[in-house]
Amino acid sequence: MDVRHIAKLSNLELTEDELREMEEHFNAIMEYFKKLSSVDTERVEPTFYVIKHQTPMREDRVEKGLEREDVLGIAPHTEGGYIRVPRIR
Amino acid sequence: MGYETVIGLEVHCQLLTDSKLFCGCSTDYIGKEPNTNVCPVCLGLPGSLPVLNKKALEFALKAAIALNCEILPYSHFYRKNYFYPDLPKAYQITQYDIPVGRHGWIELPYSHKRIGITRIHLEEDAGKLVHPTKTGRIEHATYSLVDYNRAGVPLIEIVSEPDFSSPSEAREYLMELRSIVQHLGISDGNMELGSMRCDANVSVHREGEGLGVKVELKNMNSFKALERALNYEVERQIKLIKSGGRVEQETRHWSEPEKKTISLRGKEEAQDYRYFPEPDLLPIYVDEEILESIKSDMPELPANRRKRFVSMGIGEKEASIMVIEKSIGDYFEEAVKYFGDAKSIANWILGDFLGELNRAGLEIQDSRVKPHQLGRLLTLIKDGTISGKIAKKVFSIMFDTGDDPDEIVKREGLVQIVDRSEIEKVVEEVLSANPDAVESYRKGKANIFNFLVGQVMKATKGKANPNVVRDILQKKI
Repeated sequence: MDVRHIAKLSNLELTEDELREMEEHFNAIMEYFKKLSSVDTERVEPTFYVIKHQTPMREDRVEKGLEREDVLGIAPHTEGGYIRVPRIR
Repeated sequence: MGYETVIGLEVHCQLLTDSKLFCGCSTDYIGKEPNTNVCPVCLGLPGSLPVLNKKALEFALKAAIALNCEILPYSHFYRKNYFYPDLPKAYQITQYDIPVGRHGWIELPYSHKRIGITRIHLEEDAGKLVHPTKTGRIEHATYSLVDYNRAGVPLIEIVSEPDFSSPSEAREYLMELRSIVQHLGISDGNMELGSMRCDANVSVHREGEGLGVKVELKNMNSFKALERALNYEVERQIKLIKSGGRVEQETRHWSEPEKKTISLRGKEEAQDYRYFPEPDLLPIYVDEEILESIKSDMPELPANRRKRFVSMGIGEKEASIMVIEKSIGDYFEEAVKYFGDAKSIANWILGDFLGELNRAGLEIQDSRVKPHQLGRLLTLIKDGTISGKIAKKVFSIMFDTGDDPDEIVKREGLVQIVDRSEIEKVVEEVLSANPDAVESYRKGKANIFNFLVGQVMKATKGKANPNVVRDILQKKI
């Protein structure tokens, strides 16, 4: 399991110690999935949903959302009404 | 040895729903203050749940039907995970293995080539990022600003087969696609404003050889830009191969000011979106009932409209231009109600009218000249009140003022002179003022006749009826 790759996809920086620790966790999880993979599912349709209902839908109506100060209030940094974030490389 | 080009397009269209795909926030985000059009759902706040907008699904199905797709009776949403701040949830809700429709096709209006549609699926739009820098270049920015007003606006993504063998075919397809979504009333297809966006995959290979390495092109914000970007990229790849180089599989951005494609990212790890079924939504079942109700509500599509326009008496090429933008076709049909000669209406729209609109930078529906006024102008020509030449002048005034043609003709004294004695007087004046011309006409220089007609028209400021002028001249000379 390439923990480094997964960390990069999530934009996380991990120390070597953390990487080793994560690798142990990941491997434990993967072992569990191996066990699941050993089951013969040749003639079983994949179950994406346990409930077979139509997804509920809404009519196309505009409803009022949040006040801007409440939105900006939960952001760590803001500027001129925008949410300010570090530049993503 | 020649080279062959292979192009495929991925087009995103914003759907004209009032509210977003999974929440009740408005889709009207253009020009709004940042972050004023958001709610817990489109911000992905914990505990919120998305609920599908029924109309967005109907619009996607309409598109799938119009593009001759197989409609899947069952489809569902996925999470496409990627870390980028334009997505507050760190994933986009989209579709993956089972889209709304697949295996469709569209016939190009000019080349009549059939282009395959791989798939159509529904997904949500992302927010907008601003990278404030003094230089305006993203690589010089130290931070980014995010506006989530657009996050969650419904999109359909339409993926074509790599069936285009030239940039002009790709452009023809995109224009037809825009016309189709406009006629369906599901998207306004405005590339400049970003309600229609297009990415392209381009590769070239030597004739008779296997496919080349494909490059993904982004950031083409107009039809012209698309064609230019594709032409540039095809040339670049051919040159590269000819000089012994190799095309890299990469994403390149089209720079309109520099008129070239630029590789922005260096070598990048293969995208890994870790798709998995969206657990916050249940599957979509499209039953016969839903499908029938949508099919019964399908408007006329461009292909049919073109045929109908041709049957009204206008040329195939004219009909095609009239349907490129739905609004032009609508205007034409409305004007024909007031003046039955469709060909004349079409000639006026495609000639003077589109010319004036281009100069003024206006769309036809924003013009001050209303369809009934255009119809009236043509009636004034037909009944002989004004000549065709004067009509152009009247139209120009109509375009600027929005006044009725009758009023302009009256105000400016432009009524055509049909009174023979009045014209006879002018003809005599012209003949006596141009004895040399008269002489050479009599010696057999037949084309002098038109010069003399022109002189009479000039003397009457274009108001004389040209047929009467010709008749009188013929008799007098």
